[in-house]
Amino acid sequence: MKWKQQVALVCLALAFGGPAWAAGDDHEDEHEDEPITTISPEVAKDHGIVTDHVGPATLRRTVKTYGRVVVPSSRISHIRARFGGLITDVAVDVGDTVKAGDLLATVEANTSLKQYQIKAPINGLVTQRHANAGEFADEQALLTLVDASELWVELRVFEGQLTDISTGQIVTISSATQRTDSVIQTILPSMDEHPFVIARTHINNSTGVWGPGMFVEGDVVVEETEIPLAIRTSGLQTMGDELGVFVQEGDRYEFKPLSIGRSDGRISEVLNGAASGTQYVAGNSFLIKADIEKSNVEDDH
Amino acid sequence: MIDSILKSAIERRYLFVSMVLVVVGLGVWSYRELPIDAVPDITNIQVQINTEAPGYSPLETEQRITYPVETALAGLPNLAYTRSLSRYGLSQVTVVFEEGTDLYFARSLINERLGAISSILPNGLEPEMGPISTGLGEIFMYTVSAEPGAVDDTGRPYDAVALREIQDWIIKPQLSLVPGVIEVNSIGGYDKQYHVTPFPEKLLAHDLSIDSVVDALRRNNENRGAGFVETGGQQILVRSQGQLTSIGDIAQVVIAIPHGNPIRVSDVAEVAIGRELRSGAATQDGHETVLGTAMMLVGENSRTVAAAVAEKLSEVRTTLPAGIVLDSVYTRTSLVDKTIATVRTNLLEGALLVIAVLMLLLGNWRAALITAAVIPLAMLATMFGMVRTGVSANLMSLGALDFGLIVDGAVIIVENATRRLALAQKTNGGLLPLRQRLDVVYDATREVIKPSLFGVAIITVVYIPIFALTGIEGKMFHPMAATVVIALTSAMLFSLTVVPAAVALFMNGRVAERESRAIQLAKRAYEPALKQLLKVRWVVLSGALAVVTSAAWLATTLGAEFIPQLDEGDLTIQAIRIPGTGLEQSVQMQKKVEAAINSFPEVETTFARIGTPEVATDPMPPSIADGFVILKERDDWPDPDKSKHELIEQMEDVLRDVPGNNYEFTQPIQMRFNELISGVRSDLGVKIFGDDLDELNRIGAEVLEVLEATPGAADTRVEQLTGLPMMTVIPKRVALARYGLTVEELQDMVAASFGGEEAGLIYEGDRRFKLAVRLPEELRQDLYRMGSLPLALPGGGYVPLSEVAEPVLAPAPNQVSRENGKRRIVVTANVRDRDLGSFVADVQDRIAANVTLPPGYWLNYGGTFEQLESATQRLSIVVPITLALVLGLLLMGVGNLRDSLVIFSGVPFALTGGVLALWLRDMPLSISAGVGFIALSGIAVLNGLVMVTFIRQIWRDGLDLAESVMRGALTRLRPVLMTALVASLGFVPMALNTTTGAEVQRPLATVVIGGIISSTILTLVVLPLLFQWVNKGNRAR
Repeated sequence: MKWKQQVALVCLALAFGGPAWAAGDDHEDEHEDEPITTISPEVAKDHGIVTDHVGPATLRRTVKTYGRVVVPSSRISHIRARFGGLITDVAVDVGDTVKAGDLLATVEANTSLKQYQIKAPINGLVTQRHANAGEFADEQALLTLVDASELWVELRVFEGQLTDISTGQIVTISSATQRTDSVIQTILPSMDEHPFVIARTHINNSTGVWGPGMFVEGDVVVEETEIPLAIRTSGLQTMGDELGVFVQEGDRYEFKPLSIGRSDGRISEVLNGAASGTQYVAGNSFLIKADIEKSNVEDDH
Repeated sequence: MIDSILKSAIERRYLFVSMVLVVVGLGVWSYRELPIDAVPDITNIQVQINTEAPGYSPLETEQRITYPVETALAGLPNLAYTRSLSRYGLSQVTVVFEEGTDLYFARSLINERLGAISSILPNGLEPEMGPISTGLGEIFMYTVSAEPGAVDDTGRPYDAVALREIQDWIIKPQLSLVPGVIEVNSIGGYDKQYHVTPFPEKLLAHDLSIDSVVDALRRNNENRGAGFVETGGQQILVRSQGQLTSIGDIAQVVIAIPHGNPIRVSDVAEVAIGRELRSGAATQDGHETVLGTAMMLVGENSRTVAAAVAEKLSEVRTTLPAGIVLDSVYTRTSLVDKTIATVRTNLLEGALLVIAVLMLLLGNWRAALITAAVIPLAMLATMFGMVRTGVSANLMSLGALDFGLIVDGAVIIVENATRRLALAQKTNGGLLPLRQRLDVVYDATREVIKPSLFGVAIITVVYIPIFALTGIEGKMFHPMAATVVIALTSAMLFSLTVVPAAVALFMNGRVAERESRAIQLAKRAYEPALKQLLKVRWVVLSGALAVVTSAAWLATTLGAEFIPQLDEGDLTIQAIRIPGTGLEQSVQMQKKVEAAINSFPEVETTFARIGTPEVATDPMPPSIADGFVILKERDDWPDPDKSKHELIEQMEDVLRDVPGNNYEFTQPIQMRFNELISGVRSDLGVKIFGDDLDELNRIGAEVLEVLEATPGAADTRVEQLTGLPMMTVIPKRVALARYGLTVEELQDMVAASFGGEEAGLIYEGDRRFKLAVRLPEELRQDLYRMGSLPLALPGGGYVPLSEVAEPVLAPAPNQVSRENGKRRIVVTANVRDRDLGSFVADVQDRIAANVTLPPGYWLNYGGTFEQLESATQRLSIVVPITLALVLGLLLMGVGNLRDSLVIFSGVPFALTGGVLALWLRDMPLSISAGVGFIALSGIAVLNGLVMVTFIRQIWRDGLDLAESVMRGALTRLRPVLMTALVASLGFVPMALNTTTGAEVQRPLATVVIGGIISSTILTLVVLPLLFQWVNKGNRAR
């Protein structure tokens, strides 16, 4: 995650404000010129320069993970005959919904030749049937019951993401068509020496729109805090090798280097460099940078 | 020999006069062959080798492409130097050859070398030579746009993709066929592409990778021929059809069938018409457009080619879908027509003035016509000569032609013949018999042929220093000198042959002995004046000296300028933005710039090229826009008298308020020349060569510091090599191995995700479009999430990118510049308030003392100071030699040094007039004016020569010195006045004209007129005085 702390901010500034970089670190003279420009309000408006002030905001950082929907192990039941014997009757078929205690099948035990009933241990849906009247029930599972009213999502969390993710975090689960919020309940190591761990969450499937085996995306909210001093990341630009924003005072725009803390891509935390209420350029900030640095460029193509 | 030519010309006068027909025939044929353009072509002999390398960063481009190409070209015969540029996605090597190399020869040599390295270059990359064109090549530009509300046949409005498709597949193929067009270059819009954009999570759900999508598309998109069968005597061809033809087809391609369930492209991806990752865009009047540029083959006639393109374009219009507008925005024809019209008016008006003067002063219309006939004849002969020597007709080459000068030789001969004929008729008391008339003509011609031939020879000789100019100045002025020399030589030949023959043939009527009224008046004023002046000789001579001295001082106060720039009528405004500015951002900024330009009522339209066009004739980064401003005809301006300079200043004011841009104002042709020549354009350029870019940057900064500290330095700058923001994906090799991935798989994945992977072509009839697979746009744009991009693993499953690689954002080299096969960085400076020579020496000392270069790095000094030095050096040898040559010719002509020096004194006096004229008209000294001074020296000498020869002749005939001077001066008044008047009047239209192109000729004409006036005064006043003074006490020899 280290690279993100330092680099992601800049990536974001790039993605929003257009790629920008200083004219080169070897340009000592650059700093002699004050990084200031003036632009009249009409021109600024015409060019889509948008300002905002430094102030409190909610920082919401997410990590993207992928995983599959699985049936909780407590909600799947493979029904077997307790005593081997002849199946005399099967009461349910694949697709039937059963309640706990409902009759599923009747078996005549080999040892006692007495018939006994097999009853549903859980609520659920009959998903498999390997039993018919007249067949011999032995070790095999006769019926499979699945209760899919609540499902697990097992998200794969890789090493680099692990430091950010913990139980109790909110995660947005989305498939191609569905979307729901949930909470990470457990984090457990993956089986088979896979290089990732599993973050497990529950989703409610009472409506039946989710199905086991579905591939889903999980956006885990790893951080959601109120920060007192925040700026929009689209306002960040680099001048020389410093990161900062352009502070607006009337038609004057001045570059203020900032020290930046956390960021969620949308907003960034100001640790130092600007007071609350400072008016800064949040939209099309690249234009201000271009205007200030333009005296350093010439056509040398 | 001259005598025998003269004799035969007069004896066989019919033959000689009918030779005129041959000249006319040759001239007319030449006129049709003569290439016509606005300005001389100053491009050096160069070949551009462009290699497009989609996705390659500057460093990779240099390492994989530029270096091998450069190395392959090393050691080509006649190679002057190579320079190269490695940018994102483009390598351009420019090979410059020695002057005089045949371009086609050079190209075929390069072609051969390029063939040999095709195996060294990365697969699929093909170096291509730029179009066979020069700086004058961009002769026609047009834009393609759609009328508001126009829809295509599916009912959707035309977008930038559709417009580009029309340009590429309807317009361009037709225009390429126009004779003389070597290339039609497109910029703007987007190449149409079919895009398959898979969603990573859907791919993961089915355990697929981007590769598997690409593979599936490749395997399901081909037609195959299968031979033929013969059935019942009939041959039936067999083929199997598999090409994808539509979006529906592509969506149905099956990628895999796990567990028997086919997974189609549509299950994991969207298919749509998409946009290429373009490197260039075009705008017009504030909106995006598609811009086409027709480029002319080198050596063609730009006027005819541009006109042919325009004609073809109107044909093309009829083939376009309804609602598509084809707007021709720039055509060279108008400029060439305007400049040629200017030249033609100047020449015609000059010729008419000359004829009028001849009529007035000779008082004999036959004589005047014979003299005037030399003008068209010399012109025709000149055209023949120009075609033979490959000089094109343009403002510069035709700009120094003065018909007054051309007829000078003929004037002297005809004048003398007229005078002698009149005299002879008087003695004979009536018309002369044929024999006698021929003899009189022969004698009269012989009498003055020597001085007039010498005079013309001298005028010709003084043009020699112009041939010593090299480089751009040379290319500008050689055609001028060549044309003048051809014209003068041919006029000289005519004076020797056709003129005497015509005089003998046509001057058979009565020749009035009475001189014209104008001459009588002049003589009446001149005689007493000269008498008075002869008495106060010392006052006159010292006065003359004073005038010359003060003019010399005046000359130093005049400003200096290189060449007066031809006003092309249109403007280019280059908007330059900081490196790293994205293309779309640049387009947005350019729209604002254009809105500001359009606010001027003088502007007809404005359009711009941003970034690099399809054929990289001008490889600009996306941060630079070449904006063209087409101005309305002056009559349509609110204030038709507003000077262009004023307009530019106002535009600068308005544009300064548009944030984020720097501007460079030039003109279309001028800008193109700058781009192609593109050497160091400052006074001093320090080039640092070496291997390591960081090290070069460091040394560059040090050199910059030294330059800044040197007194006299201004505009110091270091070339910007760095400044391109780059996201570098650094693989974690151990992690990769743990997941069973290779670096190559990672790179393929990253490249396919962001850049896209080509999966074949989709054919629509003749048109073919790329089929590309890449991530959906919203994912591509989101660099913040780049790390969570899932990579499919070979055995199924996935891993996020950040697990196996580290994306690092850092500024990277913006471009790598190389020269003669080595990386280089240039630090430039101009010099103010100090002479260039000492500045350069100072800089060299300081750099030697303060900058230590690591081994393997070296410095090189270049810049205009080099050219200035070499030009000065050359001229300081050539000018004295020329002057000596003139003196030598004079010596041959008059036979003694004293007289030669007397005649030679006309040169400074003539220059005085030129300087004064410049000063009066507030013009700076320029090379054009310099050429005027050169011509002047010749003319001044011619008059003096005629005068002195005649005086000496009379003196020798027995009169005393004072009487000879008086008589000689009076007799020669008519020819001197005539030659002076015709020579200066011939230039008057040129000096006064203000139409397109006149500004280039104006200084020259001004200098000549001023100089001729002063030199005439000298010839008439000072020369007789001087002659008398130096010959006092001598006896006639």
